[in-house]
Amino acid sequence: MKLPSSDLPADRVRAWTSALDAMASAGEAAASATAEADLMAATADALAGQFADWVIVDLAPEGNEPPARGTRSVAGRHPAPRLASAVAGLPLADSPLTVSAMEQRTPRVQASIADPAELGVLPDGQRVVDALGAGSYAVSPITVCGSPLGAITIVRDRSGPPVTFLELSVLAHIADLAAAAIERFEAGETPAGR
Amino acid sequence: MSEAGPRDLSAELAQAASELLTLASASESRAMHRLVELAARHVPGCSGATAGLWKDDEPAISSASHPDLSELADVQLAEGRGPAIEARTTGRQVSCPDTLSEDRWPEFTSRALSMGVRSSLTLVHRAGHVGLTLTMYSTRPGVLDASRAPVAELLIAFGSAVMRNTSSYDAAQRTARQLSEGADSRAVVDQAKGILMVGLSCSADEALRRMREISQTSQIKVTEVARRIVESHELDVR
Repeated sequence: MKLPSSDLPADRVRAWTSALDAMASAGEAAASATAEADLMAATADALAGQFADWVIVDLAPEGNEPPARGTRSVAGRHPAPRLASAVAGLPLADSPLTVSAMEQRTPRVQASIADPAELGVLPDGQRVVDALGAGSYAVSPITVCGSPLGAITIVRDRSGPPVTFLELSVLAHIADLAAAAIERFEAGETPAGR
Repeated sequence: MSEAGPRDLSAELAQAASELLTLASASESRAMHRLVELAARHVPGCSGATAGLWKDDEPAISSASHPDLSELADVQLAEGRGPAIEARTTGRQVSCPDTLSEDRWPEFTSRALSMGVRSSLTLVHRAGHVGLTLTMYSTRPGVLDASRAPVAELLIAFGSAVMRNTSSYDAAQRTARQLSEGADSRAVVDQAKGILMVGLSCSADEALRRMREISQTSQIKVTEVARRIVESHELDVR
């Protein structure tokens, strides 16, 4: 059995290291969060910049399929509060990619934009993909006890390299960390180490 | 993670089937790309897919839903082993439940692990000398198994039918193009014959014999000889 080792190209080693950094940051955010809103904002902030240009964290009420309006937290690499607020105000159901990932309980990745309306359309008619300058994106559902409670979407802008399959894999693990934190909230437990 | 329920599955099947039917008049490569897109979108647990079209046991066209995954198709062709190669050879579904413990294809699993692929499922559909493989990939171990197969089986069956249709469509297009080119050639040759008959006061057979002679000595096609005669005549007329 041959495992990834020193014969890996340098860019792949850097990708793994960067992915581990992102997972550590998201893990810290999940471990220290005290409520869902806190978790969503901390996760989005932890991933924006080092892992993606934009991060969207959605949580939807349990038991609604397709997911109904929930709560959304948005963070970007560069400050753009009005845009972040506009995207945060969109209903989850307007994002077919996110809805599909949640319904199928399956992480999805798009290395290029297949459908410009896939992340929704802003009230002024501009597509979210265009507003964010998205060139690629990935989404992973947050699943608790088999139920999809939300999703984390990462967006990479057109000037950057596309989201890789490896990053999708890491995103799925980060979504698991968020799911574990939600389970902890539901069980009434306090954050780790407190 | 739980799977989608029976109602979800029916809806997915219907949607995937209807979308595949729209491929009927697409080119082979476009149909292949749509097939992997549909698999990556509609098969529960599948985060990406590759497809390979084989003609007479030779790879003809391949497609991937993500550029990283095309590397996995390439490494199999380069090494001559891997799940898609095995599925094509045996004609059977090939499952790789966990790339971390897989030892049948070390080059494939090494590359797969380095890009975060933890399991795969390959389906194959063969009809005559044409074979179609569809490999689905997951970021989780043990996620892609036979229970996921119904949607994927439907996709590959429809995909295979579409590929046969598009092959026929492409062949028909080629034949039509050849016939059209043949008709154009005959028209040019007839026009050149007429010019020679007038210019040389000879019969149609004699005019054609002259063009053939030029064709043989100059080693260019009769059609090309005729085209040059017509062009030079048009210049003279002006």
